[in-house]
Amino acid sequence: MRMRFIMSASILAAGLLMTGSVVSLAQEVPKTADQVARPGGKLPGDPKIALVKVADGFLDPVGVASARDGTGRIFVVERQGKIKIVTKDGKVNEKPFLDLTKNSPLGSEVQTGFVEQGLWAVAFHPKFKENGHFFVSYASLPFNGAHIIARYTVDPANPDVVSVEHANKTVKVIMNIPQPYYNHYGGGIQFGPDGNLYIGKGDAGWEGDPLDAGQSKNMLWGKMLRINVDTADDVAYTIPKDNPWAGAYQDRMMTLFGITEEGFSKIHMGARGEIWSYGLRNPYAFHFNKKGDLFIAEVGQNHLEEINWQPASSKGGENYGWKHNMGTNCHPMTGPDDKCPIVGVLPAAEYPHQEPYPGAEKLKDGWGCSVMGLGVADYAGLDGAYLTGDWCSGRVFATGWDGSKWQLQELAQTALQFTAGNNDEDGTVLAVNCNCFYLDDKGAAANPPGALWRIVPADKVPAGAEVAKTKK
Amino acid sequence: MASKMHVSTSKARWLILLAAAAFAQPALADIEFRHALDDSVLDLAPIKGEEITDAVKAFRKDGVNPYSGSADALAAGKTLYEENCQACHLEDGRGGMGPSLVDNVYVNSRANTDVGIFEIIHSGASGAMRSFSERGVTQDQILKIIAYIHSLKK
Ligand code: HEC
Repeated sequence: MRMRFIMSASILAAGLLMTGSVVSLAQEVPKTADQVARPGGKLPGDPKIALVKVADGFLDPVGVASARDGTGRIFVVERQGKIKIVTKDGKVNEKPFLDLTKNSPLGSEVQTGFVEQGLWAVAFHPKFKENGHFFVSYASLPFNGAHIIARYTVDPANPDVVSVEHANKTVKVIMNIPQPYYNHYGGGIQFGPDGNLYIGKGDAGWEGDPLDAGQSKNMLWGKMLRINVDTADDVAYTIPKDNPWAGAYQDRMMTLFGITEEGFSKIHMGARGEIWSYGLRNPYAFHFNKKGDLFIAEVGQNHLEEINWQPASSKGGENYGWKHNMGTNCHPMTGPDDKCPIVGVLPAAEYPHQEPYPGAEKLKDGWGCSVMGLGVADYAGLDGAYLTGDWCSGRVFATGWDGSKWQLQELAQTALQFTAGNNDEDGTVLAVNCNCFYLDDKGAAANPPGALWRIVPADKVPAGAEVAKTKK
Repeated sequence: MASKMHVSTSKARWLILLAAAAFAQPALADIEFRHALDDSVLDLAPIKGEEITDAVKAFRKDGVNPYSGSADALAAGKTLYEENCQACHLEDGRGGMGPSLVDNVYVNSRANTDVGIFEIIHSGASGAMRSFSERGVTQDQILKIIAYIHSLKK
């Protein structure tokens, strides 16, 4: 007996030594509101970062990606409809990689009239090196603002410039999603570790989700979508069989008896098979980590921003609660003590706006107004934390698991209006900023230019590098 | 606030000042304008087509806004405010997306002084508060905007 006690105590002690803290718990989605991380948290080791400028002069950069093809090129997406290449040594190629502003004799392909419109994202096919396919996501001018996802193919003879001619020859339209209002498109696209293309699809606009898009499974709006794009040339895409509602809308014979209630619950007439998860407002940017977990930066409405985490083991179908809730808040929010049920799953983290509820005293610290996902950081002691940058307050937050719960730590307060980010081929988190906020947008090609940054450990800033100003 | 007397003796800062003094006209170097975020020294070189007016020269010397209370300047300041600031701080300065400019709460430590307000309008603060010099607003115009903001307080 006694022997056994000593044994288990020493095993426990060894466990403590290994984790350096209390016994670790498996990472999980918060089950109660108090488990959701909020500003003021600390990640183990109190990591410190710096933003080092890679290149500048971009007109409203709102997206960035690596082709992961070993060339070290970084592709910066300009809202107006161009993709610029930054070479391995930090030079910006003069000729754009893709130019959708010139691909029609009638002018641009891209609608940029409102600041949330434009070319948002590029995602390279996992086999880009072999097949040259890359995908773009934008608001279309000819289709009156509809959200288009299209595939283009690089000319192997000219890997840095997809000419207008070559673009028009190779283009394949994957999706054309109508858009009733000029805001909340979402727009981010990424290939998942499963090879499927994921699309962040906003609730299609106005405010308060007047179409009830988030909760309606018969609409693509207000969702994360998941599609297979490895299809024959005459098939735009197919629905992966393991999407949560892939078969829910099959016409079938009606059977009323001998079926369990669970069986009935799987019939969703009208549900769109493309849906992976729902109840989202404006998931502009999202990122996978190496394990296949998914982080979604879900842009909130008047009072709260939310960061969702979905484990790699998920089979999809999560309801993130919009428009019943934003994070742990009720929607619509009327005051500090609103009571309402939490619909669906909770976020891993959330942070308030300057006015956390209607009529609240304005906050001086820890606030933002529009969360932009930047990427997953597996360095600088960040241990897989998800980095986000806020479009209004310039704050960089890290959302991470500290071994027993979620933490939201503010890493920096910058002067940058973050618009997007992504992981470079080596895992470094890249970020872009514009000077293009709603209230002072002068037009996609007329705002002061923005820049591309690399997030590095604070003690690894290269000599002579330009570092983003941060509040002391 | 922020006058030369206030300068720390740290060697790095001294070197920056020396460098700044070497390039600026000596008469203009009296007040040290610093960035609201990290206190780095601001570049007050004129933007394209900008003329450094007597009002700006005087302000750089003593931090006193020569346009305070001048009717013409207030009228110009009002127009500039409506064009550039109203969207975020609202027409009466009570604050919307950006903080109130007419109360006694200051997000940035020097925003209770004209020099501090000048620094923020010229070179920006956090996030959505941009550099208006990069957006083509001259330093003379900034002084007129500041005069107008003060007139809103009454
Ligand atoms: C796009 C929105 C936006 C516009 C336009 C804007 N501001 Fe701001 N302003 C902000 C935000 C946000 C802050 C808070 C910044 C911070 O936390 O450092 C701010 C802060 C300030 C402050 C400092 C207040 C304090 O308490 O520290 C002043 C002064 C100011 N703005 C003046 C102006 C003036 C003058 C203009 C027009 C020339 C202007 N702003 C235009 C958003 C804006």
